[in-house]
Amino acid sequence: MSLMQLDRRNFLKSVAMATATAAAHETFAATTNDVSLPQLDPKVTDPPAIDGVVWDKAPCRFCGTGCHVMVGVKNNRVVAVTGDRHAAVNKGLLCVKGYHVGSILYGQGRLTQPLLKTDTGYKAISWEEAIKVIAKRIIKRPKTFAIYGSGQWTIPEGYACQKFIKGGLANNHIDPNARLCMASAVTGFIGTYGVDEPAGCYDDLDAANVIITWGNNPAEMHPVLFSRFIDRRSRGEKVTLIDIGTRRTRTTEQADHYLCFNPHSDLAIANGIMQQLIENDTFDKKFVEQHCNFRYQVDPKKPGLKGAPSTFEAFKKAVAEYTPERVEEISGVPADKIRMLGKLFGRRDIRITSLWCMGMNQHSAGTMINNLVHSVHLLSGHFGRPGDAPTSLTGQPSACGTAREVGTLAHALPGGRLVKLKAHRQHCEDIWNLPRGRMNPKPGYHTVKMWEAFCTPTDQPGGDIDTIWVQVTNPGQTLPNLHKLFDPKANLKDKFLIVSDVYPTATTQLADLILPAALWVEKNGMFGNSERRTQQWFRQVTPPGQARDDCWQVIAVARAMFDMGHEGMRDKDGKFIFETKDDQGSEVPIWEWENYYGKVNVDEALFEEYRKFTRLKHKDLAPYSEYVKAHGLRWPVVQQPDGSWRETGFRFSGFDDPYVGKDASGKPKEFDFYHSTTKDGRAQIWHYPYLDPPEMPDATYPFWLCTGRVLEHWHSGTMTRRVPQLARAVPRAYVEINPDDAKAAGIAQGSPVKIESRRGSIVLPARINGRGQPPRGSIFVPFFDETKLINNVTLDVTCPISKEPDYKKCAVSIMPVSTSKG
Amino acid sequence: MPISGLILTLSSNSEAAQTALDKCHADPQVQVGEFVGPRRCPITLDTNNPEEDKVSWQRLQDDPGIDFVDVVCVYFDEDEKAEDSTVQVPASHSGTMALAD
Ligand code: SF4
Repeated sequence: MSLMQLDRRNFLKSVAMATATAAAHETFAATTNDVSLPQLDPKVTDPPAIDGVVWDKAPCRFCGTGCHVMVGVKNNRVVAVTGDRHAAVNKGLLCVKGYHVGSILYGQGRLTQPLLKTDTGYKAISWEEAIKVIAKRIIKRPKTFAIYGSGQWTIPEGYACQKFIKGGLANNHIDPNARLCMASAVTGFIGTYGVDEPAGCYDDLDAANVIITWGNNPAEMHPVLFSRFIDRRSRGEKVTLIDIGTRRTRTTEQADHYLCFNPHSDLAIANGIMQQLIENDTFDKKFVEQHCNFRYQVDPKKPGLKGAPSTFEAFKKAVAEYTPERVEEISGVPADKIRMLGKLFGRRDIRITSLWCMGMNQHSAGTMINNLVHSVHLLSGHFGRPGDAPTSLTGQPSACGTAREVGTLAHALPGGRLVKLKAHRQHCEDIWNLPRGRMNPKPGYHTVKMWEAFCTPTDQPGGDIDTIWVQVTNPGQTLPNLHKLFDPKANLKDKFLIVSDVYPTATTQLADLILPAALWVEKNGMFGNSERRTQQWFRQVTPPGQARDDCWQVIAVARAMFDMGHEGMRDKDGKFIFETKDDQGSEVPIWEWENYYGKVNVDEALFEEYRKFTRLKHKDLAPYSEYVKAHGLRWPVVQQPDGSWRETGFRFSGFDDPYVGKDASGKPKEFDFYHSTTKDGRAQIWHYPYLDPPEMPDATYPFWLCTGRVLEHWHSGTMTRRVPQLARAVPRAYVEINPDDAKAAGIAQGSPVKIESRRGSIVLPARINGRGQPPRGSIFVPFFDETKLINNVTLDVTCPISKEPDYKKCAVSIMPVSTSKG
Repeated sequence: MPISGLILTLSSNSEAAQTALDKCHADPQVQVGEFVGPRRCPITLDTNNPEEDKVSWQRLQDDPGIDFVDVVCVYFDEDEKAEDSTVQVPASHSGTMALAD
């Protein structure tokens, strides 16, 4: 190493130390109001001045926590990433995935050219050709075309897809991967409050006395949120962590109580807490009387989103059977622990925050368990004050912003509207300047149905999707029961799969047309994180080769269809549905790539149009320019008399939410559920019984299988497996087995194990006493590894309301695989 | 290779915390900063290659005396070329896809 290099490294090290010290002070001071902290080195600027490096903000590309980073760019390449100290979400901190977020752009094998499948392999084609191929195919059969995306779409990307398919093609076959991860949270919120998304925010984690994780592992999945809790404890604050889970994880290591439950029996635990609140007469009578109604499912085997009205007496009777002893019998959680939970929720002097993510959502009774956990908080009055919150987290960076708010779901329209409601369709037609009556009232196919239709021969009943365009996701790895929902595509010659992605994936393996996409700071973007925070960033480097924005791809196809005479791509005045004008009022041909980052900011134009949709459900968004200035803003963002824009931390709470109604004296009410399904300002407390899950271990398949994620990899690993440090840390999938089960089956550490279900099998190396530790009778497999597809084994049963599959439990057998050749 | 600024939250078990800290002091790749509060300690990590980076990370993550590792910043070497990763390009695509330079 030369002297100059050494100097540079020493300089970077001193900058790194100063930045880390500053961030440690920042988080410490933010929560202690300690003003006597040592002075920071004034030479360290924020972000640090490093020769030739230009800094700009962006949200992290990975999970729904939505940490803010400062991205350092030199010579059109990302060379540095620091946590953004001014961002309330992460106060300058990142996790190991954020550490490597800059490297995801530079992994081996970026796709850089459109590729068309031919009889002899893939042929590189021009963008013009690729766009024409897609446009012609859609024009021929617009009703059998579908789009499949995810919460990795930016808000403008998802919005453009919505407008293209629902407004342009009058076809509602669009669904996101979010269907597989948070659809049950959506239906849980709607069934309880009449409107989607959490009432609370991350500030709850700074105020709660008790944090309960329900089948959730934030230490690995949302590490920066977990770090808030760790930070409070490190300063000597007493915060109790209760981990209710089906296996021990890194979260468990920090927990005061670990309640290990039998898969699916969280339903019984929630009922048990409510039974205790009533038996001990410690439920919050005032809160319940003033702000709640009761509901139930007439036929629990055929549940509906809204259920039927009930009474307190009927509710009391229904939960009475869930005594601590009965709950212990169902769940395996000791009765004393259920009593402990009942007592905690019965206390008025503490604040309780519940967190959950996939554990409660990927559940064959996903909507119902979501409803029940909200109900526990409502019945106990642990709601709506800082620290008292039932809060679902999301796995994808814009699952909330794009999938839920833009509504890229088969039944939804932007801003919480529904395709089945005429008035909602008319709002869209008016904002999009479409002829009244163009939009289709029939919801499209949800994820599982969409892929089932695609993988069924066109001439057979139920085979009525023949073209799918996949953007920003990897269904060839993440769909459940892949043998049924993805693999048959290989032999169906008239089906056409278009995949826009940044790297080759399990999905591109079966693609007929592959489109190279721009990634993260290679394009402008906006995300919406788990706490209703909308974030914006600008393009900072150019994408490699011919990779281009997903949003541009859609607009270019729309324009090609317009030029070919497709009526749907015209508004009622005959103009292009994505017409965009510059400041002088002249149309800019944004469908030509050279103009996409030219005179107009396409993201801004699309966002300003989308923003008009957001008032109906009081999810108001500010103008684009406000997000350029801010570190994200939590909706509703409402303009103040002085012209400034104010975000909202706590929805439905009179002290913070401007939409809460006023009482007789003209003051804001304490709480107001102003989108109540019962139209009386009340939330719904649900009863739903514990019923056995659709598949349980038996003599042939005696183990529970649970699937999930690991700290180092995000989602299907497409990006993180290209980061050498992350790939080397956890290179391949494995199966976690309890040591006693391993011993009984003759399975040694690292030896191959065959896991078999009714649907398929897989061989993985055993991991015993590793990071995650399942109890006896359960195994766990992470799903990030595209070379080991655990979803060939999982079950495709969905929650009957949310249609979200249950990846968390099915029955399997395990057996050692002999490695000897003889 | 990256140089990073991290914050370690040491365990409330003071013996385990001290052992973890001693290991950090003894590691030439780690520079230990001044404590902020009783358990939060900024450090820098400077490694020579991805393998060392992985080993150091893993050691910090798995150390029983360290409750949590927060990342604050990471600086890559701007001359660094895209590295080989362990990811296999799906076989059916090999040789036919246009890859980045
Ligand atoms: S917690 Fe999530 S958003 Fe934050 S740095 Fe880690 S992966 Fe990125």
